[in-house]
Amino acid sequence: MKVKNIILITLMLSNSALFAADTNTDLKKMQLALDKNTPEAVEDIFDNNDKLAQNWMANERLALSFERRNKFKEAVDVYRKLIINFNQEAHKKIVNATPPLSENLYTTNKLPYYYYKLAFLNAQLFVSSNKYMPATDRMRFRKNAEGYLGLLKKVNGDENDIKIVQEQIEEKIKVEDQRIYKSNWYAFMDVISWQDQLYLKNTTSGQKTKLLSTAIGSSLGLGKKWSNSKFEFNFEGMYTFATSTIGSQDPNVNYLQSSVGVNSIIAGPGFYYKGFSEKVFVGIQIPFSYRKGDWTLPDGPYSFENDKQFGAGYFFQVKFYIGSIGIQSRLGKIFPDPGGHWSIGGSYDF
Amino acid sequence: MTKSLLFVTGIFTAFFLTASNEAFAYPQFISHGYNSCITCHYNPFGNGPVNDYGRAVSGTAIAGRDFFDENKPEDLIASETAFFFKQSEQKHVRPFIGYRGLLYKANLGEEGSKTDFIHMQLDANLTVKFGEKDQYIASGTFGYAPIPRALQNTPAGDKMKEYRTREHYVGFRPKPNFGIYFGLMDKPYGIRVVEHTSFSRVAPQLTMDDQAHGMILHYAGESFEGGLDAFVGNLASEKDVRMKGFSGTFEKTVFDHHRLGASVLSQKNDYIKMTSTSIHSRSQISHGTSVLFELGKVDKTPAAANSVKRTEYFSLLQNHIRTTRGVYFLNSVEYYKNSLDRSYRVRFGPGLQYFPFTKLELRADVYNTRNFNQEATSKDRWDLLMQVHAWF
Repeated sequence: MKVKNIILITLMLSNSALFAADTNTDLKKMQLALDKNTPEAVEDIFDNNDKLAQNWMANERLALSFERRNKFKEAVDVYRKLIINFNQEAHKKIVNATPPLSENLYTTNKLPYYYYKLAFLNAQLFVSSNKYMPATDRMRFRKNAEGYLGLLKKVNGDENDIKIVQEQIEEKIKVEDQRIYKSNWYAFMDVISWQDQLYLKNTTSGQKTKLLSTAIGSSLGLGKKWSNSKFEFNFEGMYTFATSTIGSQDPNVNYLQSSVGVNSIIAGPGFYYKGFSEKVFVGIQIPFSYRKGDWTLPDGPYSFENDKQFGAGYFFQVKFYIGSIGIQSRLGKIFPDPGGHWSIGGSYDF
Repeated sequence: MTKSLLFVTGIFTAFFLTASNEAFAYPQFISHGYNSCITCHYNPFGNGPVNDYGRAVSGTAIAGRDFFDENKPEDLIASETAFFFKQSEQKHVRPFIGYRGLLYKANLGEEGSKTDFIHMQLDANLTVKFGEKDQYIASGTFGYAPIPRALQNTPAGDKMKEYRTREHYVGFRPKPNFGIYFGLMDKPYGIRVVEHTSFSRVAPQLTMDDQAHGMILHYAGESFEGGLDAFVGNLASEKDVRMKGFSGTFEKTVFDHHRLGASVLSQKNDYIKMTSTSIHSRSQISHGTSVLFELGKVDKTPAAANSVKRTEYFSLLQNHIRTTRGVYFLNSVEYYKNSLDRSYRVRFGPGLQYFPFTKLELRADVYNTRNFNQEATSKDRWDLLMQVHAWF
């Protein structure tokens, strides 16, 4: 019996020694694979030896191999296991403690390192996320990154490490924010000018004379825009009150009037591209217009044609911003007007 | 063969020794952080040849690099901006050749619309500088200068020469912030935009051939820059038409790359006396994008008895938007009014400017000009201008 026991104990001890030898050998192999930059081999070694799962050094090497292969989700899982399986008590104390923490809570273990890794990896997952990823996942990565960053600050983590991760998160939030379309109202006031063509018709003879009117005035407008950091879409309308000089284009017909009131309404959708600079916008607008003028008929059997006119056209437009105030100019054409249509003025964003 | 070589060499030598260079100024490049002209030009108020630094800026900040290998270092691009692509081993002599040609299609869409190609400039320049800090400088430009259209086939135009010098001067800068210059130069006034047909240059008579012999004092402090010019007219022109007088322009930097300025110009010859005043601003909106604004008036009093004094008003608003490196979108709005009639003019001018690589500029502009007159109506005028500008 005594001999039997001795044999059994000897067998158990040699078995343990054998297992320990296997673990140490595999740990060395894992480290060698990392050193040789063949991180995929680390996972194979880990999978072939169940005992390695209970070894924190093996887990660390596995996490590193995932990191090197950009398998950040897997790396996060391993670092979390490292906290839960090997440092849970200390971790709980840190979570529950209120700063300032006593140093022995974090200088006697590797938790600051794991917090940094988890903050960094979750930040990478958040930074690389895109609109095709479920919003809940993206928010989870962001919250996890911010959470572990908080723990890292709590355990007096390296300031540069904290700064780098924080900047990555903030930059991503900024970029995300820039993509989101926000709407706001704006008002504007322009000096505006255009030319009209209308006809003076002799109702008796049916003869038509071309008249050309050049108008200049002021317009007041209101619009709503939807914009992100690169594009702006808007819809606006304006009322214009102008004066015009109108004259005959036929040298044989004497007709001239000046300071004639002309009013118009212009409305339409517009688009600006803001990619050149956040303060400089270049774009187009599709205006639809209605105008009427108070031109008076000469004595006799005359009437006007086109004295009330609907039109549509295009404007090329540029504006730049100083704070909430924009300086804008437009040049284009509204059909069937014979000349160009331009305006220059200022806008204010509410 | 030897004779031909000597002849060609002689022509080139004469070309360089007798003259100089082209008038181009880009005050809008305050958008790149260059507040003062003297950073890039030998002439402290711009125009004329660019210095070594200006050449490097033109290649590495202004011009695009689409035609270069993506790995080509900026230093190498900068070194190739030198005269005929080769950096000089000496620091005293700097030659420069410039050409500007214009395809001009007037009255677009109208009957009688015609297209012209105008060689606006073909200039050669030689700048010589000496001293430890290049404080002694001499610069001369000579080249082809077409007779202005308004003077073609007129007695005045017939007297004009198509080859002339538009700039030659000697200068001394005892201190980096102060210089004195003597010779034929443009008069410092307002914003010296490159468009010599803009109202802000035509109204005060500061276009491509309006240089005068005189003395210019230039001061450039940390936030203040200014200059005074006392001139006696272009000595190459007839005595009676020489504009004599003085001008001054001053700019104050407010914030980093925003400048406010004011200018005055008083000049007269046997036929007319002119007094011009203007205020202006040059502002960087963002990197590569700027806005220029100038507002001024010119009082013109003819010398002839019974002639009427007139006042001309002008303003300029010009956007210069960098879309990508080397490509700029321009948008100009100009205003001009003459007190003698009840009319005024507004000109809109969107344009595109492309510097594919250093030493080449391509530009296209469309101008819409409208007359406002209470005594007549006239259709808008649309003009197309396409320009090629090369320099070596």
